[in-house]
Amino acid sequence: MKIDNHIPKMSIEVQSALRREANRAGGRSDAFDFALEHKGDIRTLEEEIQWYEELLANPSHATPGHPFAVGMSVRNHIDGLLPSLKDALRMIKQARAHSKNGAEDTLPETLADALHYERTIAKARSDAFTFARKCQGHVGVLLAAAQESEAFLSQATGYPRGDKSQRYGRAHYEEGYLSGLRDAIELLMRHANEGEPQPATTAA
Amino acid sequence: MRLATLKFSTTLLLIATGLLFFVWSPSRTNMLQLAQDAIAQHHSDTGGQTASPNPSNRGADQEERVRQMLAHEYNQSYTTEKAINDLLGFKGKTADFLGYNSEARQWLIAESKGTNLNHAFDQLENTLLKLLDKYPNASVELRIYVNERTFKLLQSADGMAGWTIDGVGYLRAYNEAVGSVTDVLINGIKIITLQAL
Repeated sequence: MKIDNHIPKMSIEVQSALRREANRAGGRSDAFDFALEHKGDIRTLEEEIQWYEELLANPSHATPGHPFAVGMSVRNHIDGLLPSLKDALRMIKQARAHSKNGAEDTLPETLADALHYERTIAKARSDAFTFARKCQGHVGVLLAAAQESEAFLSQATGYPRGDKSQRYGRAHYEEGYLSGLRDAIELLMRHANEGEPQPATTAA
Repeated sequence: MRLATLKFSTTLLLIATGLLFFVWSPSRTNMLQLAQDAIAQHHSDTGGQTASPNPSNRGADQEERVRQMLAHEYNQSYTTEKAINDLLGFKGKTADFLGYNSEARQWLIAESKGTNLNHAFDQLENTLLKLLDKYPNASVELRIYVNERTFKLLQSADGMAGWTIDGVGYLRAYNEAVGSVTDVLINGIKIITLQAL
């Protein structure tokens, strides 16, 4: 694939949109990381969720420029973190309800795998959006990167798609990265169609 | 005859030596025991002096080191939540350290955190707002101490969890309304971020 060397300057709006998606995905990754770090402790997760809900409910935090106000990178991260903490909590509660011994100080292997999987996918998506911003939204570069991920996944013959076992961590990362790149390209194309400066296209 | 006398003397000497060794041997055992104890003690001291802080308690270790370091710099220091609550007349989460240097007429509010800057910011904000309620004209410095890993992430171009720091260490975040990274302020005061030792 031949890549056009010209990289146009992205509008601030597009840059902000890519940052926003990267931060939200990063927040999701951090939420599952938090759940793993605390070994799926339900009480700790509930306390953290409550803390964030109170934080966002505080009207003084809505002041423009405040790091917890809408439109700030910290808030975008929290917007990814909070719902994902709830997702993690739901997964843990379901797994505990189905486990025979109901032990709460350890993570059943399948639950740990599922939490790791979500964390890896989200981290990879965050990395993909960051990459898209750093290459100035150059769609050709993003398509080339997507092809690399597709090639890796097609050659990973021993990897059964959908298997969340941690031994397929690299394949999970590529899945997440590919998904993030595709969404980044879609975001760029959408902005381009709405009258944003057209990012460079790829000559096949 | 002389030969017989010599043999007898040699035998006596050997018996005496044997008796002497028998008498001395308990004290020798004691000496060995003392030496072994000393070696064990030496290893214990060495371990105690050089051991890393308990990994499961690294955050608390860092917090305590920061408190102790700052307490030397401020002639009035409040290092527990209760002490800060009592001084400022409220109940709730506070920063780890509140200090006042009467010569410089300068307050310091400091928080030590491993990774979670959202909690650190909230605790600094709570404490500052209550301090300003009580002393509206107070001159205040705000600091966050983080571990080495977090500090490096904050210095990196991508930052961490939406936060970043500038070359000096001032805390910043990306503001979509402005389209760039801007200083994060609490009541107009910048927050300096430092790496905890």
